[in-house]
Amino acid sequence: MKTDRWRQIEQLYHEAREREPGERDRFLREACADETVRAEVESLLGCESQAEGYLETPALEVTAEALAEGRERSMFGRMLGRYEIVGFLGAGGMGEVYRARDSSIARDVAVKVLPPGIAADPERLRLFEQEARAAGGINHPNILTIYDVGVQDGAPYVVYELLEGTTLRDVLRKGALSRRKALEYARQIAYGLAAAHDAGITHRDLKPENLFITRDGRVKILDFGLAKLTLREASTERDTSEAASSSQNGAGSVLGTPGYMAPEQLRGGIVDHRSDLFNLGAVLFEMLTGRRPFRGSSTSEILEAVLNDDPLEIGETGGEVDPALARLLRRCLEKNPNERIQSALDLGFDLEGFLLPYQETPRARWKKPAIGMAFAAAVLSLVLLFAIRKLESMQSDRGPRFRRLTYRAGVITGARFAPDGQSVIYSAAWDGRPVEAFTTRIGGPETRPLGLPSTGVLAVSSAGELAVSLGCELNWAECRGTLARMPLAGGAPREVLQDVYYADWSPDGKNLAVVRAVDGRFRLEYPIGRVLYEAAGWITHPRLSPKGDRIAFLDHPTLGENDGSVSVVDLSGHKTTLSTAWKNLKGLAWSPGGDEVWFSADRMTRSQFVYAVTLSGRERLVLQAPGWMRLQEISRDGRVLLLQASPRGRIMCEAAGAAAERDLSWFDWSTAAGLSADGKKLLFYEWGEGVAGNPTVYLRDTAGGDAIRLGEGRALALSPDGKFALALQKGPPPTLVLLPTGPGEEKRLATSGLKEYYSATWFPGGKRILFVAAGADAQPRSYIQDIDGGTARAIGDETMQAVLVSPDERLLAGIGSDGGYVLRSIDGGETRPIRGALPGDDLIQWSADGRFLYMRAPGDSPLDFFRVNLATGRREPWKRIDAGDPVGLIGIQPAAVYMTPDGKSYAYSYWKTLTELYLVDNLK
Amino acid sequence: MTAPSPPGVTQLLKAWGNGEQQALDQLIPLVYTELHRLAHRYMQRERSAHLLQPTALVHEAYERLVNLKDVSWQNRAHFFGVSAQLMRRILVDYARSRRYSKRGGEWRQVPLNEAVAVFRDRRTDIVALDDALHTLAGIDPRKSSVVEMRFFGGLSIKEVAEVLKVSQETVLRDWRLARVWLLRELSKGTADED
Repeated sequence: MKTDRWRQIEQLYHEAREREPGERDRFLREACADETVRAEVESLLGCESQAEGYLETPALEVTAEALAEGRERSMFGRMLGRYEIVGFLGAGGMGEVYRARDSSIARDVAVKVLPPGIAADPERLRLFEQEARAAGGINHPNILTIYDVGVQDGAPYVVYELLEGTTLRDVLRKGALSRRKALEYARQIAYGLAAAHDAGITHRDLKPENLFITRDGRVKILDFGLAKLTLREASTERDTSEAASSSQNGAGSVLGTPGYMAPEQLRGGIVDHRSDLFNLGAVLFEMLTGRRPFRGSSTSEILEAVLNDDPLEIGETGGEVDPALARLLRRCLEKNPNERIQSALDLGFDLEGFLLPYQETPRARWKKPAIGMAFAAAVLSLVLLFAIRKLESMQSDRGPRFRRLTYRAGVITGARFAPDGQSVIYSAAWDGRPVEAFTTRIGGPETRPLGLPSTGVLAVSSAGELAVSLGCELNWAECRGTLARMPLAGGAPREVLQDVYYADWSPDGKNLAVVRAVDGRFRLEYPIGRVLYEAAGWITHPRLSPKGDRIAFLDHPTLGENDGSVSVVDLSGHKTTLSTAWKNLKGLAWSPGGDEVWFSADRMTRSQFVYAVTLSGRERLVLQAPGWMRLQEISRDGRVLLLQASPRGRIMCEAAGAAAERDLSWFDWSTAAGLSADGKKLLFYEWGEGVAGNPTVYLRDTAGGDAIRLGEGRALALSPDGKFALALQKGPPPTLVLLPTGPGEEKRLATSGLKEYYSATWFPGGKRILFVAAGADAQPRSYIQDIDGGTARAIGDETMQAVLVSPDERLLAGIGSDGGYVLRSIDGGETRPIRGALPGDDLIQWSADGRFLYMRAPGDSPLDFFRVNLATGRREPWKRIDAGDPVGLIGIQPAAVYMTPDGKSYAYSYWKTLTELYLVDNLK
Repeated sequence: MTAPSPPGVTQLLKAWGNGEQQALDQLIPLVYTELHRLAHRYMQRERSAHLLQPTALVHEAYERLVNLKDVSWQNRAHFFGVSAQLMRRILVDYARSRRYSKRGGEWRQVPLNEAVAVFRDRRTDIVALDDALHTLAGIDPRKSSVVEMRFFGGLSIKEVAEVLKVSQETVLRDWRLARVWLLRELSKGTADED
């Protein structure tokens, strides 16, 4: 109940508030004798500055925001059909987009989850599927490829190719683009639209948010066909036309950003493909000038301008004026669709004209190759050449003779002879750039690009036609993309089939055999559409026999694993296995007579030789040489194309005070496992050929010097005092061991019946370790174990997998039951989310003062480190590192990135491979 | 402008206002639907700043929940009050169940460089606020109601004045003092709560 005292406080508060801050003290002293009342008023006045804005956000919004954050976390790990959500990518006009793993073929995809509203209405759901499938049917490099659609828990989702890059909106945030880029992007968009319009599909909501620029500069149009649904979705929430014409506050939210839409779209008139051209005109205008063509200070003013005013002239915005280009833009932005430019194809051609001055002629490119030579690769190859020479001299004159065909640094994805046998066509990602197709003449130094960016070479027909992989995405140095055929003599590629992994021509050059995945299962088709073999695992390297009566291929029982058999299937689908129990199988070709199938593989891990097997199953070794020898093709006269690959696991490290990163890799397959607190020692292990496949732990000064072998196992963590390395030995049973870094004995820790280990770290005091492991029930749990004896003790329930211990040993950080990062007291109790950390981030280190967690954002290059302030949840950028040498980079090794608690030193591991192409004569 | 509110909200509100507790069971899913709809929009907004005007959205949501078209003019004020109570009850329960609430006062630590405003109290601890509001109601029930209607009910100063049958100036003064009082109460709370 209101007391007098409270009433007095209230009155004094308001009266004091009305006075200048400097006068308030005096006023209170004079007006109030009661000191406790005065103190109360002063304390309230003291809060005033902070109260501005307090509680102004309604509770519903506060809760919804918290829910929004929570939902991002809770999606992590969920299954949508056969797709497992592994990360959050962003959110757009039609729903949230997640990174997901396609469990059936172990590839990463993007999944867009749409609002559940759509699925509630069967008619709309049907429309959604129909639209998505129609859009998925458009096969064009400038249109996002849709793999699949489905509905889960009432929410429809669309599965599409995972792209790396950024939206045009993000690009435009930095201002206008160069004229050349703007025109180039517009050209690609125009051609994408042309393909869609051709198929009778309009976009209806083209805008910078819906245009994606991939890393290699290709534009992909997103959300085709979904716009119609967006509008339907919107119209159930409010009346569309009314919102568009009158509302100032939310129209943009449902209808897309005004200023890109054509007048007929705003009026609710007939919308057709020409509306898309208006949209594109507005986008091009913005790319050129950084401004939108119609201006206004509010939504309604902008809408008004689109309906009634002429667009701004490019010149008005301060950009350079090209009358012809200004005219083209005006033609796109005509209010009356009949007076507008009429076709996307025409627009594309017009833009092409503007781009001509920028284009390098193929001839000009011709002269360059010698400059592009990379000498790093040459050094490596010298070693090989030396070895090969030695091999040559030991054999008779009739032994194999190697001729090197490529000299640049990077990865070659495939190579084939040209029909004349005198040239070789190959595709390679040189110098860290996207894959491109080249041709080189045997014996001549000249290499010529075929002018096909992002294209991998799959096969060359006897009739001189190429089968290529457009939009090649690299996966361990091989391409997957859209199969297209094109004449070697020149001409545009003609797309045949999406998502093709391998292809080969029939001997007459008329038909193609392909390997692709349909509904998650790999199948071999010949001709396309006729399934000869469907695999439980996957299929690689199909090759038609010289007579064309059967296809040899590599048959891998486990997805993603290279183990398997060499098989042939005849044209009626009858399969025979010729040779089995191989490891590292890659590359296959028929001998010229068709009596043998040659292939690259080994029966050990991590090496690759060339073997042959007859159709009756007799095996022989053809070539044993240093490095991995990957068979590409055998010509009719018996010459062999081989790739020599040298995949390596590398460690890069920058220690506190060092001037630069240092390569601390030791043998061929190095993986970092920890840094000492002062950044002076690096713990790592080797698990490649250098140690014959037996994982071995090493310690090395980060300033360089020789690595010291500590013992067997996979290294997990270095003790805080640097005296022990914690490592895991394979067993059975797998056992944690302590390997002394100085004198002393190896010590085994009690195994406690655990079968699988996931992560391990030391307590800062150095007396205990924390690790995540699973026993017979395969449920990962967190354990604490004293290093001086005793068994592992599971901590708490299963709500969290703890991976880091705070410096005061009171808190644990790890992954919560919903996949998000959480903190918890070491004594148990509730977990609480770590704000600022998102699923997909890597938890790296606790800062020495306990206030921050160092994390790494997902992605291969650059490595983005940030630190999360545990008190505020603020995510502060910490370091950005370009991963080593991008040439031949395959990926950052998971869970092999380390930072010291002072944030000053770091180390990480990545995989890379370099390949060179050889022509081998006399190989028998 | 706004779509019709889900059928029966007004009837349910009436029923609940008249003490029929079962009505709440039917109201909760309706509020949750709005909550999820909003949350979805926020996820969009987080990543594309231009997309949405949050105030308009929340307003729309409140309007959908409390559609007063078919309530007689005399009852209007009463329903504003009832709906604010309802929202408080549901959102506090929700906050409790999700344990979003942390110790109070965290809102001050939202970084200043957020583009949206000087700060946004997105991390307001709803459970702690509810407790403090109970305390405030013991001292000054009207101020507690003002906060309930403004913060939980999403009502404007004018609408609150209409419900309480006082001047807008009075509501504004109440609102000011209540906020500093709550703020101080909640920052105290961090130190001595469990």
